[in-house]
Amino acid sequence: MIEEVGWEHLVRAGGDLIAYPVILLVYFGARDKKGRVHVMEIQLDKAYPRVPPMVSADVPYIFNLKWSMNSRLKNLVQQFEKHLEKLQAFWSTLDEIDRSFQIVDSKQASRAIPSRQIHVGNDCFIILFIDINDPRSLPECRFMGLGNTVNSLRKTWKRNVDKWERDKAFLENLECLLNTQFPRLADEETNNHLDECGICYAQYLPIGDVHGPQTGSATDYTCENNSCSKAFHSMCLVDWLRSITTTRQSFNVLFGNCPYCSEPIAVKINATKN
Amino acid sequence: MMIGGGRSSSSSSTATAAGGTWVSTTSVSASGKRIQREMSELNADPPPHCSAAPKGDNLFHWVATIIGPPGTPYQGGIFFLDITFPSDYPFQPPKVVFKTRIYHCNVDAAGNLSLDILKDSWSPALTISKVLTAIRSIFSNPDPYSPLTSGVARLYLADKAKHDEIASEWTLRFAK
Repeated sequence: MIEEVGWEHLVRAGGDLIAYPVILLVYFGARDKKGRVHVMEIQLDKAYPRVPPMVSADVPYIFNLKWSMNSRLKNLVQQFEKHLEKLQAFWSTLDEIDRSFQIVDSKQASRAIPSRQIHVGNDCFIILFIDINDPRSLPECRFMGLGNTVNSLRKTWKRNVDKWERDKAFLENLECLLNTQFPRLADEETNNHLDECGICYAQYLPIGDVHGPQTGSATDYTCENNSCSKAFHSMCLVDWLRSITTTRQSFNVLFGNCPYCSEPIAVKINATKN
Repeated sequence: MMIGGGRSSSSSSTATAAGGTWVSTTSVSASGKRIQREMSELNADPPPHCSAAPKGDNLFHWVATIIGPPGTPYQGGIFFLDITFPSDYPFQPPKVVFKTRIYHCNVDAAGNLSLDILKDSWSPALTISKVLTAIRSIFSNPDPYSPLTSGVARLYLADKAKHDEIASEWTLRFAK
């Protein structure tokens, strides 16, 4: 059964292949034209092939499986490959977006999700919903962030909506529509080490009430020792300095040492906090 | 003015500031994110002869192994450690306990170990990877002057050959 489609496509099989169990899991890796690898999970019922197999995969929507008594696993794989082919343009667009923008939570941005959350700067984000069947068309856009900034972004977007050109790059189109420059996706390496907070390891503070006015903000403190120059969120530094006994406070400034190079540092406690 | 009630030995998440109680504003999700990052960095570039990963679903509870360094009585032994991250990690150090018995003056019978960077010298600049490297270095260089098991420390100072003999016997018995 598996030989028909080739063992080399089998990623992992679960269950018991020999004893013919109630459920059998077979995974197929398929490589599309652009070299993207897709994994399909096939669940076979005890009554297979009378009952069609259940299929799930990293695709935004699953195809309607055509199945008859004479159908084989090979037919299923063929249908899957055809489905992948249909989605090529969509994935090429997604890849382009992932390459050119700062994506929020990029690890969770999978090929099955037709939306992307993008940093616009000034603590603002936009969520783009890509049309799966027409990925180069104007995407639906949702705005998130501070009221005033978001309102003006939304107005600019509405004013410029006609300027969308399907042949232009997404980055170019969006910068034109929003009349703004997007934060560049800097080289992964420099990005990691320059802007990440040395304490929480994130570039941006999480968004939530506990962080008050600093919610979602980027690192805002850099160790003054030039050979260190480690970046921090002042909020994380304050949290750290307050958790050790050697820290001293004068008015609203905490005096302590950089957790990395141990040189003296002075951090202002945000007056609006608490 | 002095602030902070100090890090108590229990992994309490609050410290008393002058004029009230201060609670860390960094949420568990931020600790989780940092631990996740440490996990992927550890997978990509593990320290030599060490491994560590979450025990199950719980990101805050890890198991680590260290292989005894050659040229020591712990040579070839596989030592298991339990790592528990406090919910306000990295503001508090992780708690590390030996699960494999070891004859070492800085480790007691319950597996607790005395290591300055896991106590007063902890800093958020440290990572689990660095902690494991530090633990591996006390295999080679025990510190008999701040011992947890004073008998072992005394023997180490008085008769190192005898100490090493017992230690390698324990390695054979418990760690292989």
